Amino acid sequence: MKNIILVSTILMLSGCGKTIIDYGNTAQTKFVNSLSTTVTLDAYSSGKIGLSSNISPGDTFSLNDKEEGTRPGFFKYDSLKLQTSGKSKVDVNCFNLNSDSEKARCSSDTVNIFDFSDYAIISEGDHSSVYFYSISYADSLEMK
Amino acid sequence: MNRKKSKILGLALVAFVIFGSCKKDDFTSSGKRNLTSKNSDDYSHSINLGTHLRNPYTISVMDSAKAILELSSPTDASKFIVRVTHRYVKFKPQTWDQYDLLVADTSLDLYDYPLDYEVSIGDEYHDPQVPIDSPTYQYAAVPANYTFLSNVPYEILADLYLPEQDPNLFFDGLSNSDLINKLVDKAMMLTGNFDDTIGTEAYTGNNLKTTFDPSGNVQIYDYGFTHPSPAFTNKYIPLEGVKIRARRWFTSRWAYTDAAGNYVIRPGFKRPANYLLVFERKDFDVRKGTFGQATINGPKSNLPWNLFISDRRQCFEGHIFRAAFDYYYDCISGIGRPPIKGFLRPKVKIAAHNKDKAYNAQTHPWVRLLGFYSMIDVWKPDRASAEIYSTTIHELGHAAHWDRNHRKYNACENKVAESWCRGIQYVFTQREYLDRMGLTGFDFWQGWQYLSTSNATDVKHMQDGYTPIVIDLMDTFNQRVYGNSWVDDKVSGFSIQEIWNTLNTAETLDDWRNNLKALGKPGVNPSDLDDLFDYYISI
Repeated sequence: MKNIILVSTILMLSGCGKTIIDYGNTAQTKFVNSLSTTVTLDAYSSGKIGLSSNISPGDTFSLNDKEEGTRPGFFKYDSLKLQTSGKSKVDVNCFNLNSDSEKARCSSDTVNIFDFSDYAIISEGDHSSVYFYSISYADSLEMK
Repeated sequence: MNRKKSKILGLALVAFVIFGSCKKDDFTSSGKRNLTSKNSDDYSHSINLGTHLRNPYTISVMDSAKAILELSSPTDASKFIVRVTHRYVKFKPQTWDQYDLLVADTSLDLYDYPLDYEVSIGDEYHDPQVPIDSPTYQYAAVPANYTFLSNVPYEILADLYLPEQDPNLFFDGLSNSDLINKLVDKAMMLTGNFDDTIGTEAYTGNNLKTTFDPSGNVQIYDYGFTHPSPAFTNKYIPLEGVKIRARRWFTSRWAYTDAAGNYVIRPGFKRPANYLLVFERKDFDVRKGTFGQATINGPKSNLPWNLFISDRRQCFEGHIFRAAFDYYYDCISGIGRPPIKGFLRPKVKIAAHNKDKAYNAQTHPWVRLLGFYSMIDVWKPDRASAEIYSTTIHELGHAAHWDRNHRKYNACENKVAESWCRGIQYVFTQREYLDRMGLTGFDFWQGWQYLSTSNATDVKHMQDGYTPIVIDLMDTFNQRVYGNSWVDDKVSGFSIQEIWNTLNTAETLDDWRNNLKALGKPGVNPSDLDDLFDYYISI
């Protein structure tokens, strides 16, 4: 009884306090090449190439970018160049642009690899997800 | 000369001849010379004990040393009253509760390893006789009149006379420093600790060494993100505010590193000192896991110790320390700090768990008044340094919130508690990496601000409480430019201090909104505040 009173007193004095657990969301990016030709993918950060990969037709390229955040680390690149069959296009990451007007203008780019809405997102539990992007005919149409 | 003195002198001379011939004069010039910069991996291992040294500070040795001094300088010798000024103690905490009680005594300079051994560099020592999950023995020299804690077992290993800490010898200022060195030199020679002599006239004539101030610089490696590559950081940065101790046998002195990572410990020593880095401050300390102080044991040297921390575990501890230091002691624009140490307010313990877990961290303020265990736990040591920094700020944000108003903190909904911490970690991390380090392009958004109701993961995240509403209240960016599923954030201009002040009594987002409205901030349209808050409340 004495111990119960003691513990209760201590807890009251301490103000108790709830325990808060902070889950770290992680997300990963996977690119699926839906075209019939090999695609070269080059991502840039501050003007320097930071990621380069060839993806064969039908293959999936998994990026090791599972860092903290609700968005995969891939979305921190500034731009990405897609090439296939001698043609290419460059997508700019709207979210990394500085001014609001740039961001607004950029959002009008309908087929942009940095556009979240173009991804299929699969949750792996409550705090982990995989972002799938299919490099498709729509992308190839923008290549010159 | 009486018979007793003759006997002592005789013994001393024998000892001198035997050990003196082995003496290697490895003293270098007194000029400053930096140690070779070492990779921190050199320190990322257990500390090994070397030779068990004979203790030069025992009463019997000091009596002998004084007798020898008396022969050549009776006036000098007469100034020493050899007596028990300190005790060399081995504390034996049986439980972690006892350990926490012991380390709460900030008057003690505790060490995990015995002080009369040669010790290697490293970052951990656990006595092999102590079970690995129990606290290892703690060693210290305590004043003779020290009142021991009744519930922490201890053993007095030796009674000591420490002339360096004898208040009777402080009256004459600097001149007594040379006097003390004469006695200590003789004690060192009597016990065969020749590397610890400084060469007073009694030993090598006029080769009296000058004082050296233990000094150096501490840098910590900032690991960047895997993506984007090239990373923004991946370089050494100064580690500010960390405590560096220099120990000469039983006398410890310390200093904190400055903003450039530099430190100088004064007054210095005339003999090599053992360096030790301790991740602690008055108000908090960083633990290795749940228990045990995080430290890095440096070399024994009379040269500056420059430390470049790159080992992942040590960096983990270091970046947690760095964040806590910023929140506790940096300029923070008028927001409340995490709990500070005071009467019945033990220092906050932050546990750096060197392993992965399903979650990043947790905060449980209720343990604080009890003084035991960690208030904050952080996991996942291999993340980018900015993430570790940011997570620590987030958890300290909870602690500050709790400290401000226990009742409201306990009662508030997660959207209030987590949104506050999301905001504060954003503010700190952006300031540190973008503003202070000048890393152009660093934008630590991590998806925090770019959440949409069209994305199931985002919705879950916001339902868990992690809304970016604090950022929205401050910045000028309106996410609605991306589409109607994004928040229509037309609010801007609130300061972090205003947001903090209005958090005080808020239990819900609605309370918080009303508190903000009550400020009547010019330029803020109440209906815009409604739109902003309603978006997150409705999720």
